[in-house]
Amino acid sequence: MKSAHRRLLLLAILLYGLIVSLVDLDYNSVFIDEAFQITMGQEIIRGEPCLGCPHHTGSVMIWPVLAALADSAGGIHAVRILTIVIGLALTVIVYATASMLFGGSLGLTAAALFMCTGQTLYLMKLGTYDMIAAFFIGASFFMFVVSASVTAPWHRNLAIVFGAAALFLAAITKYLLPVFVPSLVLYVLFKHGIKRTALFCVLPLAVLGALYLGFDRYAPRMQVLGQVETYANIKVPLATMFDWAFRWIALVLLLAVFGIFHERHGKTAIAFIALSSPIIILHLVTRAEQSVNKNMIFALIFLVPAAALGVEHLVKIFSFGAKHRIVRGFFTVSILVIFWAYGLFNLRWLERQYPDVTPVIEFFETKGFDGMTVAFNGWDGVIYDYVLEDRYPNARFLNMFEIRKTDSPRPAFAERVDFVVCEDLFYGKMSPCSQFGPYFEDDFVLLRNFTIEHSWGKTDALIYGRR
Amino acid sequence: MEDFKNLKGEGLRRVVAVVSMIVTLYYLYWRVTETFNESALFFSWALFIAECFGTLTTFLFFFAVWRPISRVVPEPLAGRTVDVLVPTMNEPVSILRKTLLACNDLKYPHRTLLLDDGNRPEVKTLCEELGCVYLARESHEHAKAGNVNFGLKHSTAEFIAIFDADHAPLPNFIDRLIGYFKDEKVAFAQAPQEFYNIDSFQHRADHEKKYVWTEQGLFYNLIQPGRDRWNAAYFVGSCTLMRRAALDDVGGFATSSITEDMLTSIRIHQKGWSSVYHNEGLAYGLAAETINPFHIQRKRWGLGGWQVFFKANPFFVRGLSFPQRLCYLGSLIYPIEGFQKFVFYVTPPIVLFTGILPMNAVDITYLLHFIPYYALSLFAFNEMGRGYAGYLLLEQFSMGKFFTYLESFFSLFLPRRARQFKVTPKGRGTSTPYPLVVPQALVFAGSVIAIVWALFQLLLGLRGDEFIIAVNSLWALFNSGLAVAIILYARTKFYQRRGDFRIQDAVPVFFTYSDGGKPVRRLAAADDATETGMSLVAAGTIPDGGDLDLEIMLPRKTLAGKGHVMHVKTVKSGADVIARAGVAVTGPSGEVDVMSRYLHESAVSKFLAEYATRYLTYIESRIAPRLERKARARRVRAYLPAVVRGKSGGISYGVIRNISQSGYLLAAREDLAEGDRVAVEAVVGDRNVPLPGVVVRVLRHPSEDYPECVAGVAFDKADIGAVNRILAIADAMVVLW
Repeated sequence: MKSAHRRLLLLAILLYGLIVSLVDLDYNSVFIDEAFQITMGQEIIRGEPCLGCPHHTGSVMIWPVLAALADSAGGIHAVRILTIVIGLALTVIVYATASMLFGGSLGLTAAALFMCTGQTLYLMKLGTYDMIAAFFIGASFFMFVVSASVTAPWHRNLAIVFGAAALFLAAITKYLLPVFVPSLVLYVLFKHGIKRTALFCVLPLAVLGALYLGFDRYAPRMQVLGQVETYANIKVPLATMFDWAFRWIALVLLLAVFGIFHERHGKTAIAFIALSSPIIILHLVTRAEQSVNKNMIFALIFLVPAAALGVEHLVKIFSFGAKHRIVRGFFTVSILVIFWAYGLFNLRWLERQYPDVTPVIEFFETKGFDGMTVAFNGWDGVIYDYVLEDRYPNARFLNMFEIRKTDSPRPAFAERVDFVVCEDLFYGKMSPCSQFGPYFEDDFVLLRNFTIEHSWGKTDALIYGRR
Repeated sequence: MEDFKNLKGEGLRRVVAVVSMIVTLYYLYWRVTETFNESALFFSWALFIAECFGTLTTFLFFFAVWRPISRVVPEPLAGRTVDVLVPTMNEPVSILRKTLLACNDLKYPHRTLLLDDGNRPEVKTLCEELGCVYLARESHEHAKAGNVNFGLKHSTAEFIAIFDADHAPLPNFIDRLIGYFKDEKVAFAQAPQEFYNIDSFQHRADHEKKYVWTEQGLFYNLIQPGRDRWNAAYFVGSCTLMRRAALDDVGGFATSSITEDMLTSIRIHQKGWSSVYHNEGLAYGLAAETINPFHIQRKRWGLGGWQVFFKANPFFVRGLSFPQRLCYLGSLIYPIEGFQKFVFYVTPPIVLFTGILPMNAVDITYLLHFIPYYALSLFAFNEMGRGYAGYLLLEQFSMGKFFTYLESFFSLFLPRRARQFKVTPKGRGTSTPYPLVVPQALVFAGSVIAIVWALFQLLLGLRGDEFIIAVNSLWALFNSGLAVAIILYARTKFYQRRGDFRIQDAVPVFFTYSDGGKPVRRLAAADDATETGMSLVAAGTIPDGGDLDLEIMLPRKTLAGKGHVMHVKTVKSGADVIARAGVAVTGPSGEVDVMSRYLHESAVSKFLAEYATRYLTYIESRIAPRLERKARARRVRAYLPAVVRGKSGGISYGVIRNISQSGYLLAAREDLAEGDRVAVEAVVGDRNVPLPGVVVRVLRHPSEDYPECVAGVAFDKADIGAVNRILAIADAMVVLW
């Protein structure tokens, strides 16, 4: 295929991602993490103490600051567009990585597969740190691949250093990502030997890590450990975890397994599957289901090039040596179409995974007032803080745990509460409505009962008002 | 002849087979205990039984080929009487002629009896001309078996050799086999049926890599040697030397099945006789060239298999050993494959259309069970196949045969007349292949429509079983690929209209044509040939549409003939013109017969020897020491006629078959030895280009009547300009093929 055609096809793939993301940018109300991270960024920019930073971002300021800047320019839409741009850049990186290793056609296949997965398309329009963290991981891997293909020693060393820096940024952007450090360092070790790896990969990582820990404003260590502990407390059964983890990568993994049998690059496919495994293993070992759907994008970065090999191998099998180009074309397109439909289905599922609390927001827009105090059984008060800040600058949206009276003989709030919002199953899974019923049943009356439809079922959002 | 004793990794591959069998049994246990869909039990059972059938055939295959043997050829027995029987029904006389010529050329003293069930006067005339005994029945009951039994009545010889009408033996056929009969218990010695038309429907040839796979290769190269270990090699109806006493002991050839060969084998083994499989190509024939004869042949085999299964089921008849029962069972149940594959082909469309699953769920748990089982089974099958298996190609042929086998089963219920023996048609025929690929077209269409339907439902949110849809879509695509491959191959073979298969060779040929009344005589190289045509290559012009006088220089003999140029293709290399012409050849029948003998007895085996028939399995490639590859200069195929001035100073002719910067390969008519200095001149136009060299390697073709020497020649004081000129010509010639 001519390089001009390849470039056109790559543009078409990017355009597809852009359109699919842009046409439905308002697919859901603001997600809790989006609200948290933008709020953190605003605090950092304003120079205020960012108390949520350690807990919600692992104390990394890169994404919150970028998100807050985008938010100031165009609200949540601008934040989501920013992640779309980062996602497109990551797709180009995936293309470049696969092209460098396997040639332009397979690079295009890898880019198409990446752009067609539900996770990529979903995270591209989710204004959280996941996409930028994935970008750093992708960039790091790309630089390591570059380092193995350039010949000049100083180019090689420079590429390793850049790769290490990107890996460091990934690791501090999302606190789960240090899990990739050992495997990627091993990759560099395998390609370049001990000396070069120690000097240009491990040493920069160590220096950057020490600087980070030394100058960190909000030490994340205890918070991260606390987070892990929380996750550990709500372990799901292994079989369930297995299903949840593999649900998002099953088809890519299946194609990648076929990539193992690729005539020329089978061994590389094995290496890529191994490189993708740390995040999967982490979830399986800890059995923590939090963000498993989002975290699988980090595995996809490595799996997709192997899956591209799998597609080529499958096409070879399916076309049974037929020399007609149309036969090979037919099977290539067929596999990609199956993958595309699968990805689009997953995207629709992911878009409705989190509750769309628009009805609750609309309720407060009409029935709320400035200075009101709203108690929630979850932690999603920050959503309303973010969305209603302009309308009700003095309103407070609090978790019921924070305002319950501890010295009272009967359950009661420690301060005046105007509204209570009870959402079960999702935010309420750690503190269900029923647990808090005694706090407000006597003094409050049910005002609204919204049914929120998710991809996994329906939940209720109950709004109580003071009698 | 494959020497199985020296194959690498035999122990390891048996371990792999055992592990695979254990994993398979666990998988089936898991399937039956945990995966059945209670709400679709029929569907669940159908798929499960199909999987069980696959397991059974795989296990029987592993058993049969557990330890294949390679026989050491014994000294021939002298002074025995042999009759050669050639049954025929409607095969063309041209094919019969080749077979009878080859039978006449058998070195061991014998009589040739042609058994003509077609009662054709021209065949009788042919027999009279060639000195063969012509026998024809008045009635034709029991088809081929009855015909051969009729021949037995006219034979008093101790041994009977049987050949199908299109299978011509090599001169040493009887000599190579008769020694086995020193053991009085041996009833028959079977040689493989080799097919030389490697462009047939059942061959897949890679001419670049010089590799050819044939659908029956696994059976003849491995299963028969494997069964030989268990004294269960069976008679295949042709290329066999049989002891008359053993045939008499079982009442002649069995007539109650249209696959008389297998039933006769069972009866012979029942009586305690033993059999020998001699794994060496000693006769060459024609494989089914298009899907039509292939379908007829396989339908007959399928029906015969069913008949034997019901009438002489090896599990219930007396006298067979347990291993023999298992081996015969393995050979008899293959038509059931039609049902098994049918289930595999319709399962994905059913799931995609209806969402009904033949198991509880297709999820990661299922894949974690299925993938290791399937991958290990494939690996073990490939290893135990010892490089002859070709799983994907076998799958392709299963797609080609599934409906044929279903038909054969249902034809059991047709009246006897409708299921009579049908001879496999020889040659390409004119029947269109399309009606025969309708089932495959339906599989393709059904699979594709089902995929589209399911994807639409998924996208519209009407279904939520996305992974099930994805996996079944990939499975359906695989089936579609199989179907497309068969349809395209059937089509390609149908439109491949050359009359006879041209055998690749390298023969120097002088051709003379008239140029304005003036005769011009030039040297060319024939790169392929049949009795009626050849392709001539010359660095110079060949007159398109012209008549030629030909002098075809076979080893030891030069044939004269007339040629007519049918078409010419030319290419230029600098100032040199290279032409390749298709030439129709006619000549006196004696000359044609010599050509036929040469092609059969020498050219075919030379040509087939150039093609590998097995590949290294994974274990072999890991264990076998890496061949030290010497840096070799790039070789270019050439086919250039050459004049060879030998040691004695005399002139002979040859063909340069390939050339590189360091030397060339010369097919010579003169016997050369390593170290000989040769003055070779490539014939380019009107001038010869000298390419002097030293012989560094010699390969001699062992044919007694047509000895040939192929020599590797290294340049010695050759002019670099001349070498480059010939290399440029060779490079340019590539487009001529």
